Amino acid sequence: MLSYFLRRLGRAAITIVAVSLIVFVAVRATGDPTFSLVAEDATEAEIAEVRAELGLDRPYFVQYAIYVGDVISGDFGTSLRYKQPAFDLVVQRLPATLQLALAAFILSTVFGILLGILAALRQGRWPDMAIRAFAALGLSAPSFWVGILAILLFGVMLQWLPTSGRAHPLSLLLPAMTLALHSMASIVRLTRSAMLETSSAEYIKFLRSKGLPERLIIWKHALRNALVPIVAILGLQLSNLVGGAVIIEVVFNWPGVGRLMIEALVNHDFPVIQAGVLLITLSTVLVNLAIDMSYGVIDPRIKYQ
Amino acid sequence: MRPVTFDETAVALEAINLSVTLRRSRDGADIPAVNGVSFTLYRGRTLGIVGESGCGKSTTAMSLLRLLPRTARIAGQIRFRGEDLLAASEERLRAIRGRYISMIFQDPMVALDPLFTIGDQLAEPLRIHCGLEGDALRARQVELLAAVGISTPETRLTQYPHQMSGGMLQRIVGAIAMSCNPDVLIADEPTTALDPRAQASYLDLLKMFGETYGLALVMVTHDMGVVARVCDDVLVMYAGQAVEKGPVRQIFNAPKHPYTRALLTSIPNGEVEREWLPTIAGQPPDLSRLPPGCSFAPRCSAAQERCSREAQIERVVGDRHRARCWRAVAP
Repeated sequence: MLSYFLRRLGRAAITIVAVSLIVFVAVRATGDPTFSLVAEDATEAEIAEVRAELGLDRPYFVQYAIYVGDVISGDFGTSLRYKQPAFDLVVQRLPATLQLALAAFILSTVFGILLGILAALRQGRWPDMAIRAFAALGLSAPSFWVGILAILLFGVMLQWLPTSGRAHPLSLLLPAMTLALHSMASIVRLTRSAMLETSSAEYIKFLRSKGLPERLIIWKHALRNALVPIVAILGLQLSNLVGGAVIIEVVFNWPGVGRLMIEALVNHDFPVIQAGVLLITLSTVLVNLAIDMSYGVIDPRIKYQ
Repeated sequence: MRPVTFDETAVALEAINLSVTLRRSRDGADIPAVNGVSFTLYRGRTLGIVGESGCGKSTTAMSLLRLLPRTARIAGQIRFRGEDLLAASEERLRAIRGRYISMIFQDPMVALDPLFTIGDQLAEPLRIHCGLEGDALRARQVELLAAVGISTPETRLTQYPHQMSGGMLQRIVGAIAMSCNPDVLIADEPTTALDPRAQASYLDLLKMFGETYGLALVMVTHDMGVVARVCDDVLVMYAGQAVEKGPVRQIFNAPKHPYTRALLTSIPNGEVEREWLPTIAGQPPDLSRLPPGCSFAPRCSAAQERCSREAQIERVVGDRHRARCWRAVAP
């Protein structure tokens, strides 16, 4: 168990290094930030001077080595735009993104599982049809479009919910529901098929022959067995949610890391992009690890080797 | 577990003219899986239901507890303790299942929920039907596991199905089925998935249960060897019908139906050296398109013109011995 945990931790470290390297190269491929920092009539010499100051005149691998050294000593660089430490900027925005992603995660998991069970129990009848149609819609509709429709419906026409920012306690609701939709739809479909599969298992027949009440068979035995594949995709769903949050934050003007990074991308603010991606990767990898470690709690057959 | 005294002529359960129609999922056709089967279970006696795959023997067994797919339709009567189980409510059936009539399934590796301990799954019927809790529950669990020949029952209670062998799991399934001292135990091919040594000792265990606790045992099997070893009575099924039934000795010594005769010659026999084991030519009929007359006629070596013309009725061929063949009574 401990050696498994340590090995997983090692693999998590490799993931983080790989992501940092890809982002490092990718942002440099998007353009040179020097031009947005110097005056329009700057001379070649002035531009070269600023570029050297930023260290952008050196080869990528030298730049990366310096970057890694800095990160290890806790320095994530300074935002080119805000002239503040990039790490501080990201950390200020991180709670908003985590709140949004976590709210969407809870919504999609709870409602996804409940609707999936309901569909399985009413297989072939109208609740099943309705839930499956809803899931198909949720999977195929792009989230920015759903977000705009939700703003129109609940914010503009009905005026029930705030549509922008994070000031009101109910502000979280619309962006979280929009973000949750896609992942909830996948969980609904998986739960439905997993419940149908476990319901036809031999041990369910044996439980019936023991005279167990149906609620015990479904909620204790069938559900727990169905949860095994569901928990396996929860980690994946969480990664999708964190990634999807970037778009949702822009649509709903949610002050999170996603919006910060979109701004940073537009401004070629390398240190902020790098710090943002690194911190989001770190939190995703850690939550995934926690989910993987929870398999053993549900399924006694799983051994961590 | 204390032995009980019982009357061997006491009827435990009676199935009268039982018919089951199943919906075939492939094409939605109605399949007469069981067609007018009647039999009686006596306390302390074992009835073997034999036949090829698809002959309706498992459906017959499952219908005793009404554990059939939702699309199935059952007709006839199942008389048990003065009531007709086919008229009983689902709630009443739940009170009977596992308490008075219990079941053992074919494959022990998939009969238990892999995510719960043996102790938990053994405790369920004891809690629900007998209201046992705490120390009394635990004592009964240990007693049951010991009764089916499991050593170190205390340890086994805390283990999961994947930590045990098939033979051991089938014993545990047996312990669960026996947990509330039922009147009737239905075993659906209980030894098919076990290795030969485990098979023999498991059959002996079931036989012992029947004789010691006055249990009426139903043994569903395709294996005449199993019938010979444990059964007192036998019901031979073909294409959803009981083609022959009666005491085991009579049926083995003087089978009256050609199908029974063919089954008996297909038993591997260590005494006679044979290059080939005789088989029954042809395939069982498609139940949705049964031939007119006797359903076995197309495969019967003794068939005559009359066989495929007139439907066969059950004929008395001896004391409690019946056969569904007109030739059975012919001189």
